[in-house]
Amino acid sequence: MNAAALRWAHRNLFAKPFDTALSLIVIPVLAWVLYAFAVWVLAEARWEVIGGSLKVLMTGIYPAEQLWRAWFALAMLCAMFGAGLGLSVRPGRTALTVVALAGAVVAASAAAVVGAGAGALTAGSAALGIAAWVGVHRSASARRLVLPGLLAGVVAIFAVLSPPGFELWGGLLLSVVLTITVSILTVPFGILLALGRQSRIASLRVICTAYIETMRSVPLILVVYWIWIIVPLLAPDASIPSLLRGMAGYALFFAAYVAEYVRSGLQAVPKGQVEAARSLGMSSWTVNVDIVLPQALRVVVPSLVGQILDIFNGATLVFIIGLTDFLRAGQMILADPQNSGRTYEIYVFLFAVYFAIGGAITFASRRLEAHLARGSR
Amino acid sequence: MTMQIAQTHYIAPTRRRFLVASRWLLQAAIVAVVAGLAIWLALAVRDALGRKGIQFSFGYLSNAANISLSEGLVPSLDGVWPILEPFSPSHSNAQALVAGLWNSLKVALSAIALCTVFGTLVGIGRLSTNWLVRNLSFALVECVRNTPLLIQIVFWYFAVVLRFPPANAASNWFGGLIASRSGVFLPGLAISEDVGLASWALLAAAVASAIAVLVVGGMRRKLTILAVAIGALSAAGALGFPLSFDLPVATRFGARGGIALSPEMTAILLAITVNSSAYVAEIVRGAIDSLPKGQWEAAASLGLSRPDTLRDIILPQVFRIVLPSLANRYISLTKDTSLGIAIGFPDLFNVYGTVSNQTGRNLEGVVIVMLVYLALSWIISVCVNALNARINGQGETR
Amino acid sequence: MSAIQNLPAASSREAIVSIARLNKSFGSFHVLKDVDLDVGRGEVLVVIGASGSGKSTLIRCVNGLEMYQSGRLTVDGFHMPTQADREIGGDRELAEIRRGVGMVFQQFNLFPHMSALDNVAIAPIRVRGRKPDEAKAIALRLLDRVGLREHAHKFPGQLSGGQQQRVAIARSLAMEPRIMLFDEPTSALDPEMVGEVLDVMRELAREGMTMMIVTHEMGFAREVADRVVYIDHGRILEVGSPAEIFDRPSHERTRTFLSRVLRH
Repeated sequence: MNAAALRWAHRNLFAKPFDTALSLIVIPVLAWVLYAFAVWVLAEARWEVIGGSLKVLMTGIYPAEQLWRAWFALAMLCAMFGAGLGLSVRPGRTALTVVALAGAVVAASAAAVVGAGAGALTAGSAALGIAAWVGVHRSASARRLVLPGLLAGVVAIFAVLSPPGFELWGGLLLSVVLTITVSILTVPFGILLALGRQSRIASLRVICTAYIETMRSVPLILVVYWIWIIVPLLAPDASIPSLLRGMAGYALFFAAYVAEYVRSGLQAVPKGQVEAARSLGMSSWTVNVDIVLPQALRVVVPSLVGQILDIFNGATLVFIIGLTDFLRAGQMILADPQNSGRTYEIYVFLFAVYFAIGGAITFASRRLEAHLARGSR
Repeated sequence: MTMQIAQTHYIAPTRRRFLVASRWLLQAAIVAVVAGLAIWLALAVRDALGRKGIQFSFGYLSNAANISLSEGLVPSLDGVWPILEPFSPSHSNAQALVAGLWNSLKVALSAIALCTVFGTLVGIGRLSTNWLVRNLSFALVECVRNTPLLIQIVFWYFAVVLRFPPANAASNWFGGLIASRSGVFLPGLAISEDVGLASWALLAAAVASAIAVLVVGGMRRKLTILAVAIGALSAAGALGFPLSFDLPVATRFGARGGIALSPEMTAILLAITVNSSAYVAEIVRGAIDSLPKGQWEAAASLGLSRPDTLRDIILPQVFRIVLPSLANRYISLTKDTSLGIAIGFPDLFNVYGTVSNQTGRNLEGVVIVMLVYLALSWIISVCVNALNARINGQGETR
Repeated sequence: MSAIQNLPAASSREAIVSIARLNKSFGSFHVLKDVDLDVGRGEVLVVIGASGSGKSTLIRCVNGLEMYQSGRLTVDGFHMPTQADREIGGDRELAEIRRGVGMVFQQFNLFPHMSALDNVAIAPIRVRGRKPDEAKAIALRLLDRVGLREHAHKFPGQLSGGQQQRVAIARSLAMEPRIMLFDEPTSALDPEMVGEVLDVMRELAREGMTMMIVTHEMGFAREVADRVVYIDHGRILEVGSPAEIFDRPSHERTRTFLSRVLRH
């Protein structure tokens, strides 16, 4: 061990008696845990169960001969994510390398576990995502197309996935599509609620406030379940699929949170901005649309991106309305007696995937925050 | 635009009348639309239920539930005395919901207490001078916050608690804690009978002195009071101690004695505590970071050590800042108990589901459950606001 | 240069702002007490007074940013709304009046999400319904007038305080106001930037713009003002030419105030 490492260890681990004591307790425990985990991952765990059930985990009971639709959705999602990334993160050499490597690792594992075709399709989707990232970052005209592009992407995914029937959607695909759809639906609704809460018209204000506060006080699972059971009562003749009813519940619930974020953004706009706009003779509408909202939404964007994670995490609750999301798919595999000993393998895999996606969303939200803080000065 | 001409009024009288009228009309229109929606909803629901031959009513609440719950206490009357007794199928539907609420509150209150303590520790850990502790705390917070709570609950239940050894093989940790797949058993306190009033008084004195030790300043005074406490405690012991430890004893099918937590309760409590601790840690860390650096520097210039600064200067200020965020966290945590249904823990939402399935009374139940959650959220924010007002009020008068 | 050419002639002196027995309070705090004041067309009126004396409130009342409780306030022939009037609405009427009244704030209040050019052009586009190209051409000329043509595409965050305040003046001018209000336009500026803003205001005054200025720059007041008003505790204590007020103040309090201000 060289002198620099010793100095580092002294400063960071053994600076004071208390730190030393902590280090002496933590280091052996941590080493043992890491060792045991590594032994389990590399030697004891039987990862074949993941490969065997990958199709169920990713798409649930989606018909196998229609899987090209799911692959289309994956490519679309990669492109949409890349485009979103292009708005805030510069595709520098390190960032590109990291993303390309991650894509390559995922594609290679897909190729090893499922087959060369799956590997190639995964690699292609990743490449598409990177291309969208670089493209959007480079060209200003592409940047203007991102928002309509995202909306068109969601519509396209729905159009391509729906023919076999909404009841067949499942697995990670269901979780992701639900998350994206709900994230988009909540924004306009949330903005309207926030404006309503600040309206000069008393009755509107009271109604919006009551809605927001009620939604924020009850559990998500209750709202989703309730919307699911009440929609068939209201429209007995139309049979609306569970998935759409579920999405409505999520959107109604999370819109209240969006409204609160937007409200905090509105309050962050200095009073002088409204005064200046009014002194120029602008109408209330112009003041809101041209001056206040653009500034408020800018402040709110990181929170809204962060909320995508809440929606994604909340998407696990669709089990209550009988849908099979990623987590539920994992549990279904464990319910098969043949896999009963594979509890840890499945859960570790589920955790890893959830953490990878959640971590990416958190990372994007933080980068956006830093980006906007730099931009607005 | 006209100008030099004689002054026009701010608003012409006709326009003024129009504005006043349109304001009222708008108000009325909004109220009418919302009321109309509500009535339409109610009528549609009534029709739908009518087709099934059901009427919207809360009468079913007093019917016998005919369901069984794995745990939960309900208030009942023993003669004239109100008592709490375990739920049984002969109790009414209303009592079933109360048992569910009891279970939810049990988890929520314990988790609130535990996550506040652990969260604060982890939050301080994130700012530790020890690199390892700092990064471990960070990793814990990130892992928890970036994965869904539901998978955490399910994982704790299926992959941890149900993997504990069976009760008869479970080891007895720290002399009294039994962790087995049929539940976790903690040592409790039992009140011994036939003990004199004097020893109760001595015990009370000992507890009071112990609290006083924490409150008063000055080393010598602390030591004196501590001596009094120990004296009182030993005197009480000599007279026949009024309290005794009730240690659980493992048996073939579980354990007897002590405080028993069912496996479901253990899993959901662990999951929610760990989950909320991560959020509390972030709240605490954010609050510590938000304090001006001058506070640390001023304390250091007075010669205070880092732990002293943290305890005497930083944390008291932090608790003022974090209260509103903590209140929000506590509300979220209480709502999170509704996920108990995923592992069969009979919380309020789960019991509501069971009762609804049994009776077909989905909509009535939703109204009740919604009101209960609204009330819980409201109570938590009222409590925290009161605390906040008291703490911050003190800060100003001092 | 339409914005400038359309300015009314400086010679006429009938009142454009007329204030009579104006009373304004915030809750129980009586800010303005029985204020009487006329501002003539083409006149440059400077309002001075200690901080908290109500001078900013007075100027904000003239633009309808504050509502008064009683009295009469007309701007360009229109009644400004009282507090009671505003409660029934009438945003449209107020916005119409404000189009003829420019306002420059202490904190500039530029729109941070728009370039300097867009800041100047937005109101003509949205309020007057001008075509964007046309409005931007005018905006560019106005920016040129305040010496910022080459900064037109910068955002407020990239400009110095003095530059921001000049953009703010250009923004007000774009609405072709018949009167300009300045609420301590140089108080938030670093000393070395005060001059550039005052230069622009001086130029405006020379061109005959009607101006009502709240300021602490006494030298500037003496130079450009036609009349100076001294406000003390919400009352107008003295009105007169700069020479009268600065050299021969008739009130003891005016003297004390001036001696305190001018000493520095």
